[in-house]
Amino acid sequence: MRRLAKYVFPVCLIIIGIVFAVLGVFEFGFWDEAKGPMGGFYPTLVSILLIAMSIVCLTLARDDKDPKFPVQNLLVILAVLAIFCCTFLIGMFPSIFLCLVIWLRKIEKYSWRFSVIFALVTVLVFYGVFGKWLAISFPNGLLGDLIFG
Amino acid sequence: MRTRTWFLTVLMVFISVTVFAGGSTEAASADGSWKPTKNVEWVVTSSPGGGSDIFTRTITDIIARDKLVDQTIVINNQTDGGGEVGRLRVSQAKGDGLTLLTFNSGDLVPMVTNTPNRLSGFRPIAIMAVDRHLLLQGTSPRFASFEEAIAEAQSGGRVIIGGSKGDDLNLYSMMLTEFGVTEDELVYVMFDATSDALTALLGGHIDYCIGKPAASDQYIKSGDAFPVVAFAMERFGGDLADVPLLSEIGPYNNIESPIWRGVVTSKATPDNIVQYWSDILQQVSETETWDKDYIERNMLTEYFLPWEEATAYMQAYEENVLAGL
Amino acid sequence: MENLQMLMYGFTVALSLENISAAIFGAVLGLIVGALPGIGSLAGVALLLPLTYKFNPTTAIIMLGSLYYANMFGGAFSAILINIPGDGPAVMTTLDGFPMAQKGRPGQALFTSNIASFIGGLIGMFIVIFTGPSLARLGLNFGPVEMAALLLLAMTSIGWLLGENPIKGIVTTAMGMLIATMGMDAVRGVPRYYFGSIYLMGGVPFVPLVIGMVGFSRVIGLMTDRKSAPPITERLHYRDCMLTAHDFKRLLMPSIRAGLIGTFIGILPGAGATTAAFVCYAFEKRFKSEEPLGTGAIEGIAACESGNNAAAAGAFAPLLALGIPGSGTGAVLLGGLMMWGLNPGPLLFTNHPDFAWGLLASLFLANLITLAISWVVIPILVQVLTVPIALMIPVIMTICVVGSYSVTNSMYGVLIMFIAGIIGYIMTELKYPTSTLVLAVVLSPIFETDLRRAFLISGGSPAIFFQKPISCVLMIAFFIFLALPIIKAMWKRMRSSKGGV
Repeated sequence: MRRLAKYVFPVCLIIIGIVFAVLGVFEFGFWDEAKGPMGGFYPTLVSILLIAMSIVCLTLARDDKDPKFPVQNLLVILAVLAIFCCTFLIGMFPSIFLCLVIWLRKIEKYSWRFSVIFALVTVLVFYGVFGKWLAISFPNGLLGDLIFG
Repeated sequence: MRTRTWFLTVLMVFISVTVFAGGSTEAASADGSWKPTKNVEWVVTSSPGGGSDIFTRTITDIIARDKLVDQTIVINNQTDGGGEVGRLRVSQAKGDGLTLLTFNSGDLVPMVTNTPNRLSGFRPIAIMAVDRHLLLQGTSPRFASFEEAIAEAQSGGRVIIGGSKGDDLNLYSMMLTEFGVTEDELVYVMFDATSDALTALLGGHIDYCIGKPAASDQYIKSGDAFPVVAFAMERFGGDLADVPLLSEIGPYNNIESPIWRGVVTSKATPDNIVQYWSDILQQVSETETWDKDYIERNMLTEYFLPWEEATAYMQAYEENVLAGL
Repeated sequence: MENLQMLMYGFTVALSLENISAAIFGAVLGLIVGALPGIGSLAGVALLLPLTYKFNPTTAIIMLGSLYYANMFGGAFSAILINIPGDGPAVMTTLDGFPMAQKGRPGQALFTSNIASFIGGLIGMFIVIFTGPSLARLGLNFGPVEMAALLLLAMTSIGWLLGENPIKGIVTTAMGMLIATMGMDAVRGVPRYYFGSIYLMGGVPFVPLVIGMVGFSRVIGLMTDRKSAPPITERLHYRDCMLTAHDFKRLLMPSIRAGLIGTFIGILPGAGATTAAFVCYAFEKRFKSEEPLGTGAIEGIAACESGNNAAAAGAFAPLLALGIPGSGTGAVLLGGLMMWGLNPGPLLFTNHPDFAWGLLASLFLANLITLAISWVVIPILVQVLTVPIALMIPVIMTICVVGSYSVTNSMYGVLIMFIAGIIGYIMTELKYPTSTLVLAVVLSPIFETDLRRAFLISGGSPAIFFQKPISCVLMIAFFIFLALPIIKAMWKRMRSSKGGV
């Protein structure tokens, strides 16, 4: 699977290029005599360039090194995804707090005490700088809205 | 004697209780008064520092300073989807009077052009400012007069007009109809903001520029630009009193696409809550601070439409825009 | 030398205790906000604008100007230390700044960026002071036609950044160009390529894209490195952060070059600090540097940091002299100035000379003050890199989330950051460059919009590019640039065939 990635990526780009080019020509107009390039002109030309170069990459991909994609890196992706989803339920800062605590404890094996204190300080700094000082309102999540209204 | 005193006392107590009690619940009480009891969210669909943002913050500052509303008003800049996400959200919000939206002619035009959302998705609360366009030319124009330019366009030549997105586009489509020319004869070059269009005019890259009095004033005074037409039903005042109307320079009707700034709320909001906000905004519009900080600075004339008139005004504007699409 | 006299007068205005304190306060705030990933200069200036209301107009303006200016300095901090650019211009700084820090010289990287910023800003300010209004008028000559020609020239120099694999570089440049077309078509006012999503109608927001593609993607990759030692293991002393005389010599010429180019780009309509940083960096590639650009070269940091500060200074020319904001941040500044009853424009210097010159003088001060403050702060900041990588990963991860939320005020920004990060990570693993994508997102829309406006003005005829003088010169330069490698190759072949005979 990982080995195929170097082929799959250019193929995806080719598909995207085709979509953009087709939409460009048929949906957004290509060239108008009096107005010149219409909405689809530039994207279509760029798509053609993308498709052409992606095909070249595809053919040369055999000589590329196989990418590794270690599993641990997936953890970061999952963690942010978790924060994203939990934000809708319990709000952003609580989600970040929980994520940090669980991460520090389970993955990096710090003590509970350290994890909780570190997470708390980090979240408080975020809240202080972004929430209070720059006056940006962060989502409270469904739960937060219920509590705080 | 004592009975009367007794009676008066009871009356006074009754009145005071009503007055105090009436403001403490969200639901409409016996005398129909309503006040917000939680934070109010005011959505602005442009980024901080922009025109709509300054407009909104001027209002909220006056409200806070004069303590017109007990609760805090929190401004939420939501620019997603070019502002459409914020507008859609407010139109669908609960009718509890706690969500307001700054809504201008420049927001309505792209909204009805690009989304299925319409004015009917909102309850207008007020219009607080109205402005009109004028047409400017640069220092070395291709045409001796605007009449000449129109004639050139009508005979199949090319005249280039620049302007910003949003409500300027509406004026442009009215011009096409009025002069009987096509898009390729009277060409519209759209810029992100009026200042960019003015830059192009000053550099001699376009023939004319659609602008507003406040933004154009200093260029007129410095001699870099000249106003040739006022797009209004009556002449402007002050320094711009000499600028002719469209009907005065040719066999045309006066056209105007007024630029209005208003406040709206969600469709589900009941009349009494709309009335409340309309009254608050009316008080704001009558303050001296509003006059000095907003009206005068933007070279506007005082203007306020409460909710019923504002609704009718916005509806008429929307019909005009939809007809031109 | 009337301008010099007026400047001196301006200094007397600026050097009051109140105004100096305001300048310092503004500089500190600007540095911090500039360093915060996500918030960037535009929102930062706008959000801090209300703070200035308490003061009298002159002081408020000085604070505002100082804030705006220090923002440019601050953007480099997070770029160099944690590879998350604080704003658009800082993207280029990550290319050399971060590797240099990782090689164990973070202090030097930060100092280089600061001194280069100072030099660039100084050059920019001098040029603006002495030629301001005429320079601004020169900028006016660059309309859509000229800008399209200029950007065509600039786009060809993206080639310099293509790195070892030009084909992959072109692919990612094309990707960036397509991403930029999603959203509102600026010329017609209708949305394009939004696939039915109301969010995409507004396009892909730039800062979350950058945070994701440059910052978050790197964090994902960091997981495999987390057992290795952090770039610096012991507390760095102040003198370990200092530049050597040799370092200083290395940064001087690039800074001066970039200062001149950056100022010029700053006055152009539509082109801002990010464009300047890129163009100066690309230009620097043509010169020799001790290490190759992109691996931690001082010359690289110097070029883009000097360029972006020079552009910020240069943007003051059209702003003050003509009332034309060159960028979003400029527009906020303009709004701020107008709130104080100052209408920047052709009449500003005549009607309010004390204000205008006081502001310009205070920008000089801001330049100096920001430099001084950063000198104090850098040795402290550098300690950030002693933190174990394992601890940095979750923190930077959450900074990416908070930063990208704060710039759009919605989870949409976080989503974009997330997706961009994953794509960026895949790209990096497959050896596709991400910097070209980001740059294409910046330059491509300006290019396309101006190109189409040019054709609208000419009525569909490409001849206009050769009819207007400035554009004609640029087009000729473009063709020469294109032809150059071919001519070189042919020349080589001719010489070798002569030699072989």
